[in-house]
Amino acid sequence: MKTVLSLKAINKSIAGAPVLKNLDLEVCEQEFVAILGSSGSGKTTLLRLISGFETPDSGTIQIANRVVFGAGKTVSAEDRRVGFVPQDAALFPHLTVAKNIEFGLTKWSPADRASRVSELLKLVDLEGFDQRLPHQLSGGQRHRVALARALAPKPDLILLDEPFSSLDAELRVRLRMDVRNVIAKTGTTAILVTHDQEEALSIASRVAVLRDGEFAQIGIPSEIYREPTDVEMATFLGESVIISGVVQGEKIATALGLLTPLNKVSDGARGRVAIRPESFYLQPNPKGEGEVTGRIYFGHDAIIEVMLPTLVIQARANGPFTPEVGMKVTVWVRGPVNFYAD
Amino acid sequence: MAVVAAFISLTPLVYLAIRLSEFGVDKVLQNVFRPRSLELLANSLLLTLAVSVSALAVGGFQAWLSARTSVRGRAIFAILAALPLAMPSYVTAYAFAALFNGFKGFAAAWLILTIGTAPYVYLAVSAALLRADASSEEVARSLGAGRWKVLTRVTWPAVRPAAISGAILSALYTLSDFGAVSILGFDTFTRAIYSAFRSSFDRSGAASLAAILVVITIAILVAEPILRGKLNPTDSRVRRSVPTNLGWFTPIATVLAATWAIISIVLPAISLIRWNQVGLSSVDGGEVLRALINSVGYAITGGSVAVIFGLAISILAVRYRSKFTVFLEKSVWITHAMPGLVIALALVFLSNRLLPQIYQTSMLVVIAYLILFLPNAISAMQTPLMQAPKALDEVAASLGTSRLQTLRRVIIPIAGPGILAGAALVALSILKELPATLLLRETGVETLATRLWNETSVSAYAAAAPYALLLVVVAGVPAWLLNRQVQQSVRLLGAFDQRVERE
Repeated sequence: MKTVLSLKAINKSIAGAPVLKNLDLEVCEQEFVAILGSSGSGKTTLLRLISGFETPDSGTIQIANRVVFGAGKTVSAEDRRVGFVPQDAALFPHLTVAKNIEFGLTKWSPADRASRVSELLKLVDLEGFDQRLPHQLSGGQRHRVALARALAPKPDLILLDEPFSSLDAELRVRLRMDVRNVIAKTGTTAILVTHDQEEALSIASRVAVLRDGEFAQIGIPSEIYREPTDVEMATFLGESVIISGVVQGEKIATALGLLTPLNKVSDGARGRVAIRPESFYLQPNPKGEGEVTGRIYFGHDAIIEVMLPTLVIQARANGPFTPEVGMKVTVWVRGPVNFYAD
Repeated sequence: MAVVAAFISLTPLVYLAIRLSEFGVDKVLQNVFRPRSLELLANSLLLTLAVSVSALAVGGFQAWLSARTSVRGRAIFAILAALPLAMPSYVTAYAFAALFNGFKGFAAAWLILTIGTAPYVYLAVSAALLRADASSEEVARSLGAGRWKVLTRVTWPAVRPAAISGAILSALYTLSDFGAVSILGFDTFTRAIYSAFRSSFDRSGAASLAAILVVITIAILVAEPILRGKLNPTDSRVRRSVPTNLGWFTPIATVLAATWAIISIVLPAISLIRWNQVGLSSVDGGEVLRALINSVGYAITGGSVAVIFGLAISILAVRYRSKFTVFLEKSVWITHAMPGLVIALALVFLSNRLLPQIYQTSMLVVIAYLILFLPNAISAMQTPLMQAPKALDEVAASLGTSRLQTLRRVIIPIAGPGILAGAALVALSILKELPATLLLRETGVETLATRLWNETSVSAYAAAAPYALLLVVVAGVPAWLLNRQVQQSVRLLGAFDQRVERE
């Protein structure tokens, strides 16, 4: 597969404090990469470096096999062929939807321009809205116009800067899928920056987790969730119950019994085990060691707090019946778990 | 361009200092410590203090009445409170002097300048009252505080910084006022500087007095943040409260507000109308027309120059913020507080010495306008420029648009109407300018303001009437309309932003 974006040893400091440290990243054609990080992790800065609004202190950026930064060369933002969808859509308030979309098509012939605009309007499902002004659109419509505007000049790469964060939850989920479908249809390579892990896992073909200016882990969503590289990742991305354990032969001895490791372990090693809340199975048992001490009910499932003789765990229980507070249960761990040696 | 503008702005003050040192320290000190100077100092300071206190009382009362109470007609009082802004203080002074014989001296100047500056306090305080969260007043009342206690312990601390700022604006205005005190024959620094300049070939007297005035102005500017106190950030969600019912105080408050409206608006209006009935029949129409054309010509030229430079500085300050651009922006503001007369005097010295060919030409007048009104132009330009947020520039760049194209295709279309409105406002304030025009204009060129001043100084009230009326109409009415328009667009913009955030 062709590489569209390649970052090599990118460093960036803002006001003396390092924000991005020695970053490497390769994005292939038609990939949809989500860069996931909490606020202050440097994810927006990274996006601005790729788009050319800011320049790195050192490193190389290549887009579509062209060096846009590095070796003493800086290609300015307007010559990078990188589409950009900002957080608040930022439509030009004085231009109609059609004029907004064709803003980047000045070098096209009028006929090509018109057909491209109608093609994109159809793609983002806004046919008939071409003469509206931005303030006559709803929030979701505005974001779709912003996407169409960024896609119009057929950029090599499109960047989305937390594009859904200002929308309400329901609209966000719907728009997320719309955006993914539109980008997939056009075959555009995309990078999305977000702090929402559900968003990153559901929309992207690959997720890069940015932590303190470094990539803590890069991989496909299921891999990132199933096999976090360290204990911090296991708790940052989704929830995990962390308990200590010792490797005994093929198994890990813990307060919850002998567990099967998912990763390679060496006999006798001490460390910690991360267990996802949904990996627990709570079996009602009047003689069980565990007692249910708390319950948060969500409808489709519930978080159950269980007190065991030596520890307290949080388990996710689904199905029509969930344990009630005060019930005695036996706790089982389903499937293998991740072990991190100290 | 911004560098040139900042340079031009700072030059006169620096040059004034140089000239003073040339006159010799002994001579300057001798001028400064004459009994006459001390008398002027006492007069100026007394008037400044009296006006800022009374403006604070009047403007603060009006703001509280219209923003927080249930007095009938408070919407009308709100308009009436801001209306005197449309009338330059020397026109008000003329109107009163023409209406009442012997309207002269300290009390007269005090009244006129209070009328002229109370709106500044009113606008600052009512903005602060609208911003301040009224629910904290309700909480105070639920805790058992009476109305008076709420006013002194909750409301006043919340609006104090704004009120003090408004009062200091009044003080600076009073210090730099030239027209009103001259017409009313009250000797302050500005009046003395002008007569010293006109009556003697030795300019050291005028320069020394100007230096004292500059020192006082700087002292006030330095004292401002200390007097004002810290600005407390308030909760941005503003809840409207039920207006306070004043009870037995209602009729008293109404009478007070109505009396002030009669003094500040109705009396000058009556005077203007009455003297125009006399004046219009005897006036030389051609002369009025010439003055009008000159005024408009100066306003348009000065306004355009100030706006072009103001735009350059604003774009730098808004878009490319750095320590250097902020310094440029701030340096322009230093001269803003300086009396127009002082700037004009400094320009006289400067042009006499360095460029005698521009002395008493319209070019020097335009330079003076640039210095005096550049800050107005900058603040008028920044609001429309901020309407085009930086994100739009970035989106445009990501779509392959160069900076110049972005300016043409994005920023100008969005900010253009605001820029035009701002330019018109600047031109209108230039139209009302008196001292610099009086001192620097080309020989034989008369504007509305200088004609009014000339006629009034020989007590030819009827002959002055048409100029006064024209000044109020030409400068006042459009200023008021524009002000409304600006406020509306700001409100619309606010609503737009809220919608963007909400969805």
